[in-house]
Amino acid sequence: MRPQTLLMQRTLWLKSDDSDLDRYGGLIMPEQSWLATDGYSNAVLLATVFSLGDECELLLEGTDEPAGGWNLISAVSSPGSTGQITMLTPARPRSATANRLWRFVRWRWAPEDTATGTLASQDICFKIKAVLKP
Amino acid sequence: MTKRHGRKGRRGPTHGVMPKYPRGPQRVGRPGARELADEELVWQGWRTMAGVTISGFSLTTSSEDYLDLGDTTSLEVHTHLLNIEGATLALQTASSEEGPWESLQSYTAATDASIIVNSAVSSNHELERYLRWEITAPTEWQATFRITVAAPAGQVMGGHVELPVDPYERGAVELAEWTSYRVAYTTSSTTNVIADREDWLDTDEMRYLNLETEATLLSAATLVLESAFSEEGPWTTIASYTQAYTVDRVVMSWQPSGSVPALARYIRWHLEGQTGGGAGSWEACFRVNGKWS
Repeated sequence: MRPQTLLMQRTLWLKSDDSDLDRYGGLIMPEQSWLATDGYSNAVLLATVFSLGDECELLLEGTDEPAGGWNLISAVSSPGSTGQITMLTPARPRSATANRLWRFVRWRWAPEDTATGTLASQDICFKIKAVLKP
Repeated sequence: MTKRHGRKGRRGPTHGVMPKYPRGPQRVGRPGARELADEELVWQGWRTMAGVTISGFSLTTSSEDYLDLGDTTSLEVHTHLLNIEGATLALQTASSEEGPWESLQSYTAATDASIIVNSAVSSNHELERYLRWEITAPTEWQATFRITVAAPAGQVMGGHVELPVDPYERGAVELAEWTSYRVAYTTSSTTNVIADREDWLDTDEMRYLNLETEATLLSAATLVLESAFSEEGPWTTIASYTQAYTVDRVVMSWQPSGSVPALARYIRWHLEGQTGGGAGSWEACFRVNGKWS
């Protein structure tokens, strides 16, 4: 395994209309594009959010089992052109979840208020780079 | 990694989201390709596109992204339309790449809908060989959408699917495929955006390069094409655009003469966003194609 720098998500601008999009529960990175970290022991994620609606946020999530049980890695709720860096390393102890290097990583664009919010009339423009190291 | 051209043995992208390279239509039914029976194929990933008012404006899938359905007889096409304003998004089919293209379905409002197309002559959505999408917009417009295809529920597709990334030695490439930005700024922030290093064009071994830019939206932003003889610069402006709708062409040569500028080693784009006058945002939607010899 060699270190890799990947565009986990090419710059993406999403905008929703004013209808009630609560049914989405957020918009999730397509499964075909999830970042797989098998064989690597460290990762750095750089999320750059160019624009973000007032009532939504960008979540980075990880899991070892893609069928479910996604864990929050990081949340970005305000835009910043310099990006936000998240370091992921092997968990010590293994039960720890904070900044753990999960087998799969994805993004989710979600309402900031998960109880009552929707993605109606929201927008986001962002990109994510990933550096993977063995 | 910079896009390199004209070299044998060049390695292809190592990750699905790395730069796309020229390829033929996406095929369904080519031997040896992936089976589609139990998976959804992302034909058009999430994308927001926008533009200003242009008489008779329409925009279609790039020809290399047409979906070639080969001998596939039935297909479910799922359109996730998150937002659409001032435009119509249509799914079209044709027997040949040259057309004529017939509309299968069109959308003018946000939706999350599927149609099943098949080869039966009596079908409401009669499937021919190729699929593409088209946006028509008589006024200022915007659309955010994603399109996937799969075997219809309960059916196994009679074929396979492949998303080829064909090697090539000379031809054409997108310096920037359709790219859209919305960037928020405050009075104190810098909002310039430079193409990712991976997307710079390395012109080593090129003699001529023809860049064609199409910008459908430049709102409070300037699109700059620039070149340099080393990665560190200095970067020299080849062309800059502030006006949408713009289609322009620039030719560069390794033997510059007259109005033909010198072809430097690296080519990239960057967006200069306007700042000042309080907080705000700028927007851009453009693509840059390259052709060389």
